[in-house]
Amino acid sequence: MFFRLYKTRIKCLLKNRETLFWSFGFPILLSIFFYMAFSNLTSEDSIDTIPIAVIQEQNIDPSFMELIESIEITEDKKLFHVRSVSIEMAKKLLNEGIVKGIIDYEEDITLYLKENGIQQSIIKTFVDGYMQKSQTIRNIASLNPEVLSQEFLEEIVQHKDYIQNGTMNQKSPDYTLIYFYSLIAMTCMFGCNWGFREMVDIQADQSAIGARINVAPTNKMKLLISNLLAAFTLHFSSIVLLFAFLNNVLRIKFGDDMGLLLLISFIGSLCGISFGAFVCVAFKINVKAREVILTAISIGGGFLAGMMNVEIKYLIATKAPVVGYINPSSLITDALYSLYYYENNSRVYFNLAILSVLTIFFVIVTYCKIRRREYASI
Amino acid sequence: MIVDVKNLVKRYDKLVALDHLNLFVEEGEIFGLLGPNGSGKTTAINCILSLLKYDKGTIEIFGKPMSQDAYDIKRNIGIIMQNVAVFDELTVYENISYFCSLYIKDKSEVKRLTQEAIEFVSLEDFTKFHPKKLSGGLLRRLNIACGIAHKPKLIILDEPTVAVDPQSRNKILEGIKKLNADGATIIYTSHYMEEVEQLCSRISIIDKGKVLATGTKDELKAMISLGEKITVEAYNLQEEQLDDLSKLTNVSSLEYSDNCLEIKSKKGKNNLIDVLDYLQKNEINFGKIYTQMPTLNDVFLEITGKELRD
Ligand SMILES: Nc1ncnc2c1ncn2[C@@H]1O[C@H](COP(=O)(O)OP(=O)(O)OP(=O)(O)O)[C@@H](O)[C@H]1O
Ligand SMILES: [Mg+2]
Repeated sequence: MFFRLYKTRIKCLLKNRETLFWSFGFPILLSIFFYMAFSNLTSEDSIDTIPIAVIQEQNIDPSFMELIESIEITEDKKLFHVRSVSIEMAKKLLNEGIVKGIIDYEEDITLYLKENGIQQSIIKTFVDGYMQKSQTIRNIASLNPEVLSQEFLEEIVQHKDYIQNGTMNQKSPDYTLIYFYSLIAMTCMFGCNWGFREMVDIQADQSAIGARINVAPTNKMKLLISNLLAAFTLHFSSIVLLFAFLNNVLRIKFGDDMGLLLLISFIGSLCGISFGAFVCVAFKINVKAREVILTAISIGGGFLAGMMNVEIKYLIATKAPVVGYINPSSLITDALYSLYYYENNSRVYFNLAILSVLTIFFVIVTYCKIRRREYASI
Repeated sequence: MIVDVKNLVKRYDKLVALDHLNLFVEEGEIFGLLGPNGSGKTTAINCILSLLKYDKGTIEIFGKPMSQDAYDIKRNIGIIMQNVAVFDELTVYENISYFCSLYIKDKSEVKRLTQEAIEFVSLEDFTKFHPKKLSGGLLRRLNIACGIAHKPKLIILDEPTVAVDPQSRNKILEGIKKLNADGATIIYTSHYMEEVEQLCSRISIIDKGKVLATGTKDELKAMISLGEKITVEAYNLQEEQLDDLSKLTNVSSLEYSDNCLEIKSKKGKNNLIDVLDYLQKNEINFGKIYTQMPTLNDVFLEITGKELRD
């Protein structure tokens, strides 16, 4: 019986072209679009050592020189090749393209660049980051020297470590990846449409089919579980297909841990589906309005997770971290991101744990809402 | 007693959709629930099926209280809703088989019953069709097949012939009679009195959520004060002649317009001879004559003061 319900439901879902397209086709189309948009960026996937000039005569902070010379791309490949030269020499080198930028370390750091490009952006990112941090220390010190406690200094130093010694798993940061993570998170969250549909079809006050099913002597939980399982089967397949496409066709380099990657999307898919089911039973308004709410929440969640603009993600992380913790899209992207960037997977597990808690919460609320339900109005 | 509904009250906010409704249905009958649009027929059915919460009253089916998880009761009910409820993604065959499998566990039994249901509604040529490709009438027939495939003892049909062509309608009505002959008890709601009159052995007339009258067709007609109605095509009747006619012993009321004379008799009486006598004696020319027994519409009109059809 259970299997027959499940099988029929799968058959039913497979015929629904619209949902199939949005779940299977759309993410792949988007990934191709991203791929084409980023293809000129990803060609610089393996960054070469960047030659830069530092003006010689200046009174350079030795820790700065030490830092700039020690950053590595890989084990024995430095990020910068530094030449200490005179200002005239530096300008000549820059003009001839032998160095990509000049750092003039007087009281403040001034950076001279000639062209725009990936290498130039990296130099600029580095210099900006350094200035920001040294500025912070100086500001705090001048305002209130006591604050410069041992702890705080350690924190700053740690931050330096972060750049220097590569807690970052020795990977050159590839910002295009975050878009693919978002895409996967979005695909997981598409599950909410599947979950939503299942609930509409099973509730008497929302569809004629729901009414007919409710007068049948079938246990509603059995029906609900077989239907959600059918939705999950197809939805998870859509994610696996997307992974296969990204991995084998577009050759996007995700982390090596394929098992964890699949676990993230497995839980992500469950969370998406249960979230849709939850929205469907949680609001007492007509189906169309519920659909609008669902779309608004899932797009809003995607937005806050930085799918449209990466900056948003960091803004949320600093200004309103709670939003990040209850936003499934954000949890999924973060889990994927951590899997790639950190050697230690504790952050991945942390995200997965919250995702699971959310999923269980959605399922329990849904269960309580539809159990033995008679409707006030059909 | 197959269904017993007592003092059922259902409110939608302020609107009282069912107002102390009482119904009972005996085994083997075709019970008609006749009422105009918005009178509460669908609401009553949904309450009986435990789909809707109600404010007051008791509902028993097969002698047991009905509830959301009374599976042994539900197993023996077949329901054909007013709105077609089938999966657009499944074929005719798959739809019937799916709904049947919600009731029947055995796989080969489901197969056999599905086949029977398809034959019953004559959809043999359309088993591989998807609902979107079916005409309105065929779709209604599919809807019925989905509701009755599991051979229920009690079949509830909520206006199954709305928006159906006459040919399909007749097929549906014949089918219902056949189901009844095979032993099923039927509850049939409609606002078409002809259908109810043709089909049902016992009828409740409802309006504004109340049962106004219950009985067989003849019992209902006997309740009202009218008898036979005579319509005569008569020319140039004068005021005093109409006056004379209305004074004939058994006449209850009389109308004359466009050379058409309509005389309603008192209950159980007949006027035809007297009327014709009068017309002949006064040398009044007349054409067609026909007589008519009271219809359910007359019953409805007399009880509520308004026509059944709007
Ligand atoms: N969900 C609802 N919310 C509020 N009022 C409702 C609802 N459903 C029905 N009603 C009202 O309850 C009354 C009875 O409606 P119901 O659908 O039971 O009538 P019906 O006899 O089945 O009519 P029809 O012949 O049009 O199917 C109507 O006045 C209707 O407007
Ligand atoms: Mg109705």
